[in-house]
Amino acid sequence: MINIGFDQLLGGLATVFTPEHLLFALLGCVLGMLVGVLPGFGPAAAVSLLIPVTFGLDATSAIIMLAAILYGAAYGGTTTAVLLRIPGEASSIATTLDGYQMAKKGRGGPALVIAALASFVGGLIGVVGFVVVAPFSRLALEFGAPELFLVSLLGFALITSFAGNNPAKALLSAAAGLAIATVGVDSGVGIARFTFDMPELFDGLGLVAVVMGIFGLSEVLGQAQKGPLGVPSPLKVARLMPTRTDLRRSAFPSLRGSLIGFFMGLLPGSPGAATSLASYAAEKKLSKHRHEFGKGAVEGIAGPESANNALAVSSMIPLFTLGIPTSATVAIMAGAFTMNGLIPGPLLFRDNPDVAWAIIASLIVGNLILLLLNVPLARVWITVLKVPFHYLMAAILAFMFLGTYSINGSPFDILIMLGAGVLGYIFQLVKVPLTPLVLGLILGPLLEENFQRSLALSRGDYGVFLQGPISLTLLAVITAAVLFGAVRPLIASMLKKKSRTAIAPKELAK
Amino acid sequence: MQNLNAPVALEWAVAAAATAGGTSMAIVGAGYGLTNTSGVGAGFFPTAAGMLMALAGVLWALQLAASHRTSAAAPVTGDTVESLPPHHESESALVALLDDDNSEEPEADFPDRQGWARVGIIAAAILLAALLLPLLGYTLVMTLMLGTILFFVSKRKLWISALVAVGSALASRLVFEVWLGTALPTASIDFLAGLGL
Amino acid sequence: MKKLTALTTTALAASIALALTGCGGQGGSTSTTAAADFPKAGSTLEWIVPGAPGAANDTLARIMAPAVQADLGATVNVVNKEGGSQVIGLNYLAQSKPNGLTFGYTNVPSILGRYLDPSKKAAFDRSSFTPVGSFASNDVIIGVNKDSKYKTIKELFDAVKAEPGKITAGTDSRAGDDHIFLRILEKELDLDFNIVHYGSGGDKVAALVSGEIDFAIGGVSSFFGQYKSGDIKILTVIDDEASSFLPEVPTLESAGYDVEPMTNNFAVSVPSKTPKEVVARLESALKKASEDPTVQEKLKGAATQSDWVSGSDISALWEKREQQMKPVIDELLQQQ
Repeated sequence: MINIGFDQLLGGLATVFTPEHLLFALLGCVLGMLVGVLPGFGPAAAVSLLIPVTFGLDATSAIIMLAAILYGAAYGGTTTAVLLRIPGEASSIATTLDGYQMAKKGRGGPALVIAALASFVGGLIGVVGFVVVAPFSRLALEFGAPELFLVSLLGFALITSFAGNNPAKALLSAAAGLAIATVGVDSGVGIARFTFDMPELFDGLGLVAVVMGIFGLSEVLGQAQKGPLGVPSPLKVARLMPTRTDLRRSAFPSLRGSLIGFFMGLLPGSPGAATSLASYAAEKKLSKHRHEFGKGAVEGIAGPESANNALAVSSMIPLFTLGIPTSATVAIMAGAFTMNGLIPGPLLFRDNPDVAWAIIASLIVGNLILLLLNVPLARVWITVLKVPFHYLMAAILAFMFLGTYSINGSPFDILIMLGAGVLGYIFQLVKVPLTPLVLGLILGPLLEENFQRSLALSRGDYGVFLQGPISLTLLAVITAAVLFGAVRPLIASMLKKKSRTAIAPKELAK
Repeated sequence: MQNLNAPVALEWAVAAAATAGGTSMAIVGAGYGLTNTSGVGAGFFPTAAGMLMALAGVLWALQLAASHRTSAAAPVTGDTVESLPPHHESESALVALLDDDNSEEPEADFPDRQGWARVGIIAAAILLAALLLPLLGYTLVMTLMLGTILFFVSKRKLWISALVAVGSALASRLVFEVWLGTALPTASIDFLAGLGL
Repeated sequence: MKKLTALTTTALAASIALALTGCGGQGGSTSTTAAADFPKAGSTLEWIVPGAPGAANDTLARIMAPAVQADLGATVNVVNKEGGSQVIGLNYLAQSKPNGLTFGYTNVPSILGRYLDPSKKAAFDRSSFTPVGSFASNDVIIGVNKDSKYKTIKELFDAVKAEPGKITAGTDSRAGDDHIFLRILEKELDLDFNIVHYGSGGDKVAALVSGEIDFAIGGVSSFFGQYKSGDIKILTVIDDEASSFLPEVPTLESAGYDVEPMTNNFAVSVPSKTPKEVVARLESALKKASEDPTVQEKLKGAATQSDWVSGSDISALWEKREQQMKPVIDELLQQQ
């Protein structure tokens, strides 16, 4: 039996706290962050780009450094999401929603620091959870295709949180996302849909390219339309550190986000982008400051950012305990293990326990370094906002042009980004919310593939969705959510009328 | 329709495009096959997405028509929902939990003629740059794109635009090729390639 | 504009060891042949991987690249061009300049499925490439869950015969190698599987470990960790000879089924117009790298057999496999 416990984790921490390992962790964070700031270079791309840097290191140092690159790059993506509304990778979409609004109000500093703090909390909870949950990680495999379909369906209930105040427009946005998601070769039958015989389209439109266009380019176009100076004055940079209120308001969202992220990371597929959006939606539902969401609420950063990092840690669990990479990012880490002569899987704990625990411990240390690094660095990043818009705009455009090109080394993605940007711009002009589109784009393939896979497994028997306790629970939750969603506005308006006619809250409580 | 102003016209246009696009998508999608031996075919999801999109377009158009009739004189947009009353902290927690305040949309100003021109120049510059990238190579394309945007949109002086454009193109190429070891496309025209572009 | 090498970055990253080997290799290997000026010192070569980072292909390229780099004395970058089930990357390779600075994977026999199927819109065929050599191979196996009721390949195939279309088989992608291999087995052995496609090799293995599918096919390397830990059992190797990693597992041949070996060769090619001397220089570098003890140990760790096949041999094998598989693939396409 594998030994997994806090003793081993402490042992791992002792291994990491050598000057050499700390140096490589630091180096990894810095390099990862610098590369991650470039749009198009998400964590996965950053790691694969920087793998050669780790050649010649011993296995432990190499993996520690690569894990640090992973976190650094993820944080780099957060930086551009907050400052420029360019989500460097799909999982920082949720951070753009309020982070950019905070930056616009001159609160970019607090936004970045809160993001770093929340990421650290997420990472810490992730590692603690790792030790607790790892022995039972096999249970996550109980989520097969039918269960994953139902989870994705549940995810669609999130749309109400991003819908704006016009249901028809939200529906249009979500349907457009779903429509874009159907481009490409169908996974069930193999028919090329809406591809016009172009191999570039066989795998569908790239999520990152679309998202960069929809959020980043549309914003640049929207500002450029106002004149050479864009927004009236260069954004003023007020306070750098978050206020006490900011911190207090971020505490619970970080904890909740960590839990959401942690559990989603265990599932096969670990959909990072959908998870951080789910955390955002949860915070919006629970927050007392709901009206501030979308206008710069710290909860809208703390939740998704912690979810993001907790997911990054917990998605490593299946790799360590079963040798199964559940996402593209983890697959790269699996490759890095192999390159360093380590076989990912349960045997890692038997054959190389020191290495395994050092790597797990380094996940905490990497996040700590990132936090220490980024509180002072926020000041540096913020100066970006002091650049006059007429130059900043050109820089952002060059940045996105290069970034989308480097996703696949193909000019085709630039065209996709441009198309998405123009669409996003028009949507903004006619006040169609953009997030439902992205949600449709993310959830569409998950829904379709798992639906087709489930039916292929059951040979067309729809009963497959009703089998097992997990499916039934999920169905019950979905039904409850739909019913609740349908009657909620009704009850709300009734209650509102009542409370306006001055019924004491006491009586309501009875 | 005498009061049709530009924002409303655009709303009508988008709603119509959504309806038409959604319908045609549903029709093409259905052609991919709605059923299959085991469950749904390749066309099921495209058809569903297309129908949803068309439905959304129709609903939106109905809203527009309704608001056009009710307030013909005032400039209208499709947002029929009147501004929500401000939240009172005294409102019961239950109401807060049940009531979804979704007023997150940014206030978009509608562009004037010059605004459209600026947006058009940026979009066209990116489009041309992407199309010419394999032909002219990265350095030249990036210089032209940045130069155009800086001169026409940012209204910088010509020499400043040119200087900044050349500088940024060279610097970014240096970062990518030297620092990141990622090759950027070079020109496929021999003369330009010979110059190292 | 001369490109500086990426070694500056690497040195910055405190990986001085690499810089040293890089320079050392350059001094040691530059022989005075016609190809002495290839590659020019300080030039950058691209190793095109037509798949995502982290895939088996990619990992092996990254294991090999430092050793090839050391021998050539020029930077070798692994470049991922994913999409269109490898067609994007292979198109790119076929259309790149034939100067030896761009080379990439053309795995035999898996590449056959990419261009023999017209719906993939591949802009290349066998004549577009000149093989440089193959440095490793990956046996194709059939695995089942550890609690599976099928103890031998015969039991599994008999069950398939008894209930056609009922037994589920997992692949890592639609129209990928796994899928083609399953269709070939169906045709050659007159079987009918219920083929279920997953999104990645990892998802496929997860489905096998959880018992969602009855069996899965694929390269031995993708199952090796779970095989070692006892989570899955391997029933057969689809080859004439037993795999050196699985000496106790019977071959499909020995179980009484006559199917052509499916073992995949990790072959590397350049565009077909590349000068002969350049190809020869690359071949010697690749061969030398594949014989490097560190590389061999890492390949072994990745459960991949390191065996060198020369460019001309792999070229012959490619032609032979194409003749064997073309009719099969044509027939499969007509059935669809």
